Amino acid sequence: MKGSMMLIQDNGIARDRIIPAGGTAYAAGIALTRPPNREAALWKQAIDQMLAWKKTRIVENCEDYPAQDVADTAIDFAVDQSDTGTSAPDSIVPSGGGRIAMEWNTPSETIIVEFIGLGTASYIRFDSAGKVAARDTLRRNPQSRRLQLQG
Amino acid sequence: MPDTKIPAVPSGPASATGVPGAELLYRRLLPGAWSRAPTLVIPQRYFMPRPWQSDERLGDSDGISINCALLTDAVTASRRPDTGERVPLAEFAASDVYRIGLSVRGAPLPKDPSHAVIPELNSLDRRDTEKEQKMEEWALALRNCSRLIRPQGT
Repeated sequence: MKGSMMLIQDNGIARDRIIPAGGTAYAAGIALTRPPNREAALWKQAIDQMLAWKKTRIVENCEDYPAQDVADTAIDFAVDQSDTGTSAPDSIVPSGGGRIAMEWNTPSETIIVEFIGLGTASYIRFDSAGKVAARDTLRRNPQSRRLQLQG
Repeated sequence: MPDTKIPAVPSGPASATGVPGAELLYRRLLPGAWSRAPTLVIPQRYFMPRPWQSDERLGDSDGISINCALLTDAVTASRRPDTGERVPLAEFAASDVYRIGLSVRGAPLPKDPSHAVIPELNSLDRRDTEKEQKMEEWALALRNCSRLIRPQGT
């Protein structure tokens, strides 16, 4: 959770405009009930899966598998989020064109972070009616090396 | 749900698109999903077109591919034409596609007469920010009325 808060606060954007109270992709009440150790274990699984995609890409050279720089960016993001106790996403998938998408769902919203290149990702949040409530771009801060919302 | 008006659901044997509202449709999912739970919530991204990257790599320029259940079966539809790999499917009704404000266009292939597309969800329009935002909402709506099926061998 702190990781996501930092991600927003570093850029001076009110976090509740982009990410709900609690600073994570989950509503605070849900996030607080999630055991940190369990989340760290899930992030580890997810990171292992992304590392496997990198190897597969080399073998298969298939357009739908994630590009190396995209996978590297997504893995870095996952490590950052895991280190700071953020809830793991519901899914991480190759999303076509070499991209990777992470998705969080709650009854009140859906959040997707899609990694599209080296140090670059898109962020989108849908409200409970399925409308886009926020869109932004995440770029790596060369100093902190973390992905930050551009605002 | 998008802002577009919701059209009446086609009730006859053939809609304007040629696919009856009661027809079931399959969308092949990209392989390799990681899920925090054993039951995967179908990711919204599976309903977005592959992006345009260059004039040589157009992505899903005609729309996202689907299969009409009337002309195939789930096991056949689950097989990727490029690798032969079997993957899970999202299943939804044509009536839901129409209700969301999208259409279905038959696009039979030599080896796959059941192939069709949802033309509004295409990579060329996705280059436009406003159109892409509408696509994002359509894709989420489509996801929300889909169910995951895992044919034998996937």
